[in-house]
Amino acid sequence: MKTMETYSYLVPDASYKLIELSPELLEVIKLQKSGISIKASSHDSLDLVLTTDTKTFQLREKKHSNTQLLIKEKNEKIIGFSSFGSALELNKTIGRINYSNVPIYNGNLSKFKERLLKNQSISISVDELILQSPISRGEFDNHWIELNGSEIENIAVILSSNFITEILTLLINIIIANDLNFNNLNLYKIFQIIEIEIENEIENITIDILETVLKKFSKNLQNPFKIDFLKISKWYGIEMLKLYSTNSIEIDEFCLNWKSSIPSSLTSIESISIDLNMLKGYYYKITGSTNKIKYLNKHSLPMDNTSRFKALFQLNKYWDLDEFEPFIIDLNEKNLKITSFIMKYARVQKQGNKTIISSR
Amino acid sequence: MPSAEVDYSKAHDRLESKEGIQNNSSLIDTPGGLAILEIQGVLNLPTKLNSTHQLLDDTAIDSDLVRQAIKFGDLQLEDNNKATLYIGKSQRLVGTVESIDPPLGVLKFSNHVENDENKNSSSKIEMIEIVDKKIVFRTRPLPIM
Repeated sequence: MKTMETYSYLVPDASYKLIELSPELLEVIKLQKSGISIKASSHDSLDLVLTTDTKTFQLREKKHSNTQLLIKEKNEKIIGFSSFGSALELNKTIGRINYSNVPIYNGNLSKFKERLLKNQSISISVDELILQSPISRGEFDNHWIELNGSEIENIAVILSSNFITEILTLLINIIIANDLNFNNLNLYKIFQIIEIEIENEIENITIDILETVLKKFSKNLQNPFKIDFLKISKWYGIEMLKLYSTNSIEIDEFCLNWKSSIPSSLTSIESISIDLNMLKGYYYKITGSTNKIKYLNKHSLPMDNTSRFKALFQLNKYWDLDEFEPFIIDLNEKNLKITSFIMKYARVQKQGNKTIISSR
Repeated sequence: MPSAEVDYSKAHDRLESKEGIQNNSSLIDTPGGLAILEIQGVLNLPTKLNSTHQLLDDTAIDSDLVRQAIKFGDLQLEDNNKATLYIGKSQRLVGTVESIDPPLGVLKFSNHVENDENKNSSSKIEMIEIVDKKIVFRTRPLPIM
């Protein structure tokens, strides 16, 4: 038995906080494999995240009614030096990029520079953007490419879809004309070819832009690149779908248009798969039809659960589960089984081997 | 902010050294020597001091800052994870030493001014310790007899 005098600071040291360590975070601390950062979504935000190199966790203050004293033992005395009514709790989340202020680049460098001169506030570098976004570095790298993110003269930009299509088509033609290997593409070599062959384009295309496009349509994120034909096919499919946001189109006709939008130099030497399943999350079938589709931009849908479901049922009364799921998956924050999640807001019915979602 | 790196080297050392200790049953026998004492409700300390109060000047664990601490009781630890906290002259609390699962990291936030030309103030965050034991007093105070 041991008895120790017990003290407490008259004014507790408020510079400490307790944080619940998840097994994942303990592993990081033990192996020292990754950095750990705490980020605020914005300067005035209390929304905090903790990031490792590859994962993002929401930090939430969990309050309790007990007094927790952080104590130390010193010269056979116990001293409580900080007091807590809460601890920080970690919840795994999907990192976000704060790209609302990032300018769009459509391939016209002189106009872009004019715009920048008028509006200095939009010029931040990609490194600054990473610091300002509640997201881990690894997630950022992937998500940034999905967003068509690139960098021009140290300024983070988002490339317009039309410009991406332009570069992609150019890239395909260069690869084929120069007999390059789709599975082993050297960024610098391709850039050199563009510099020599396409003088009038070169001032609008930087090596960073070319790298963004190569990353976007490759199986890997590092030079040399290995082209992923499925990603190319999907891109042309989405771009074709965007033409049908007001008028619908029959699936067969759409697939023909899709195929013909892919450069024929590519379709003549490679078998490029055209399958509507690849475009799930970008289209919906109009009510009462099994073969007419329209484009749907999921970012245009309401962020609130009830309104999102309502908006989707206004577009189509009866959805196939697999066509419905991509439009609501981001709302399922607790990672419930997808049908259990949908059942909270809609009707789920089995019809043969299909699952049909309809409004209640 | 908006972004600050967490220096967790001390917490890492703590995990490393803990693995070496086979029987880590004693309470504050950790390299950092930190634990948590949990009381239901609020611990009221006197706001005005008088001569009967027993005071102690203590230097903070990570700086030279001296702070004043006041004695509020005696903690008795027994070998079987039982603990008794005598508060003042009339009350005692009976509690136990428990493991904390998940363990708690102790984060230290400090604001400091960088010495570079920009003199940007930035916050420094350090995880100084991982605490995995606490002494919990769940029951109402009992009289000392």
